[in-house]
Amino acid sequence: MERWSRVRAVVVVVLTGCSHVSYVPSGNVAARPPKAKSELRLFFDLDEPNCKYDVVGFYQARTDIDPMAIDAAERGVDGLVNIKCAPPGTVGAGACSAKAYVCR
Amino acid sequence: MTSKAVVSLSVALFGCAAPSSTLMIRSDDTAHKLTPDKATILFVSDLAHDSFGQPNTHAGIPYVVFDENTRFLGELIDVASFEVQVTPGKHMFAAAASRSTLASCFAFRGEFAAGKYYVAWLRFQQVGTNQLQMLKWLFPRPDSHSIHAADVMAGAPRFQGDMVQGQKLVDEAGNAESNARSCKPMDEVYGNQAPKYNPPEWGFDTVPH
Repeated sequence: MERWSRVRAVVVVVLTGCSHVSYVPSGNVAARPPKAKSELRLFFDLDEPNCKYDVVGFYQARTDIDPMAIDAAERGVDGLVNIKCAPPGTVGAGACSAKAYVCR
Repeated sequence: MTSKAVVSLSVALFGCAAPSSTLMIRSDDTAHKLTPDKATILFVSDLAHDSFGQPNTHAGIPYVVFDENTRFLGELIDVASFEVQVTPGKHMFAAAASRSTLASCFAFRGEFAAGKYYVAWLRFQQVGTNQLQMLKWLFPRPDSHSIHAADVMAGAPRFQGDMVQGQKLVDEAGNAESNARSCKPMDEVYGNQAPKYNPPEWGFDTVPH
């Protein structure tokens, strides 16, 4: 099972490598029904959700958080935490990273 | 004395000194305490830096911390901390720029359990993709993935408040009591991103280390 999840992670990176967002799952995560993007909770920087939660995947985006949020909603996770974006005027400005989470 | 010499002396005396609170003194007692019949709260700040770790304009501005009865608890300036013990149950705590009418305050509510240790961290927090940063209370808690309470505590020197002078400052702030009552807690500012009351489980059973 663990081997399959690694293979799947690599496949996901390869498939999404040329788009604006990449996603690497943190392990075997049960599939969840998609939800609306507006239902997704977004937590920037060190802010955290109120619930006890597990990180289920890692995002990187070249432009802004929108492609991550769209993908995360399709995966049905509860939200994104640790959202960090490179500030304007720095190398890679606008690039963002985040972790997908689900409440326990 | 020439003006150049006066400037040099001023810089020597004040220019390089870290900003300090007139209401707080450095505490010799740095041991953290847990009391079985009280809830202990450590208020910590990092107001010297923004969320990218860069110096910011709020460096050197003191923030007074008070409870729902406008009882002075302490003052935070730059990177600092102080510990208070409260009766278990529901409380509201707020911070406001010290030399103000306390109208511009940042508050949070919580339910605090006896024998537990809570950490409340006041820092600049990025709140959107536009890099906007706001002062916000964060709560390192036992189930935190992002913040380690022990790290937050280790980096902040401990202080003790001059409770008489501190209360005087709060009492003398214009309309302090009504302004303090109008403090909006975080759940009213950020909606359901923040709980109405922080749950008692956000406290530690032992002092984080």
